[in-house]
Amino acid sequence: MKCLNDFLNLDGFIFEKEYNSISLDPDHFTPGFLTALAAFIKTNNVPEKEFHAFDEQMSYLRTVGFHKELWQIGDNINRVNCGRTYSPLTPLKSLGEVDLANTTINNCIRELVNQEKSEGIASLFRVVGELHDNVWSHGKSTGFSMAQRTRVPNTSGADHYIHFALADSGLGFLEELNRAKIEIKDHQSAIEWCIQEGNSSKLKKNNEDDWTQRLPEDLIGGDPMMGFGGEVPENNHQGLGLAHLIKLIIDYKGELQLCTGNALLIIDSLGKRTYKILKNEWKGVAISCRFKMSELRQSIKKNTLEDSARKHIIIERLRGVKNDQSI
Amino acid sequence: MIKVFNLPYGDLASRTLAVPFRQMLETAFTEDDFSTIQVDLKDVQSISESYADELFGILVKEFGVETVLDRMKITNADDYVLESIASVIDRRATSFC
Repeated sequence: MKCLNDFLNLDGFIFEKEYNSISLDPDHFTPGFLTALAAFIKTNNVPEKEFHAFDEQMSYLRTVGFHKELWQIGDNINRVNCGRTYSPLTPLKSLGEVDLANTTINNCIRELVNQEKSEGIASLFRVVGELHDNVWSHGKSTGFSMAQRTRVPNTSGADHYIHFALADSGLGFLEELNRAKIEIKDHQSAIEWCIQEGNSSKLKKNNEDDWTQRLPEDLIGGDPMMGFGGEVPENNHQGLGLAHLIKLIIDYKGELQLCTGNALLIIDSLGKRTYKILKNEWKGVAISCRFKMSELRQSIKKNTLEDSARKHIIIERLRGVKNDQSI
Repeated sequence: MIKVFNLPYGDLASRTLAVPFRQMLETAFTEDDFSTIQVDLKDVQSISESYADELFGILVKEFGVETVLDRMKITNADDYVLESIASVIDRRATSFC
């Protein structure tokens, strides 16, 4: 099965620049591969007639919505397995659609996990939300996301992987950091910086005026950015999204491939981190992760007793349960 | 008096899309200093910490944790959503200590 790493190494397809055409190898593809492929096709304006695949693959790609989202080709496909084994390829077209895209993917993940609830699954929903928000606030361009369920080999179908992937063709971490005047020299260092909790190119500087980016409070109507993105009206970013992704990967023994520019971070299920330098740069950010359902069901509480006690008081007071204790 | 606010349907993620809802809550907090502000999450399936922070964390930053917890109540939230909200409130509250 070809994954994001394969796509980045130009394995699994042939791109002929002269004809602006793509031919897929006869193989199976993870959401990491497919979201990167979708972003690549979009960026390079590859026309539908120059996209070649075997009939079975083409049928699958039509079913997940490739043709609909990339070339606006309508279909009447009855997607009986949508949400059972895969989500549709979901574009992130504008700021106003972040929550819609996130709801589409998370609704599918709910189906993929058979509506089970656990701390791990809830954390996955939160991280998927953070990543969708990050694409727009950092990428400021169209991105694609997708989820899928596959069997874990040698478990007789008893265990499944939940895959989630997202790719954009935005600025990428390094350019984003440099624009924010954060001195980072290369893509690997940019990844290392961005996955640290509390680091964000969007963090408010000490001398930043609270009002400089603020829209009028009486503003009414829909998307305040008219679909063109722009800064968050009030900048309260905390730099937690990617740190939470890494924590989720480590806590629930997930696997991660995260690429920007020429750097690819791989974390395996044992938590071992490896960086690879790619020959072909990815302009933007591409993230692919997968978790075993059996791991997501585990309960992992890492709060200190003091943290837990404070949170318990907060929850009781939010619920309106009488609790006179202050925080 | 109880002022009721409903959050939109779905999996809420976007920090930016949380801002208009927070502004409504800010208005409710500042209109008077006695009414209870009830936020109904019956349509919310999940909430990212960014969304929760922009909505609830910033209220704590502006009005203080005790005021927010005294006056704001959350209804129809599942345990995981409520824990997310508690996490951001705790983070904003302790970051001022």
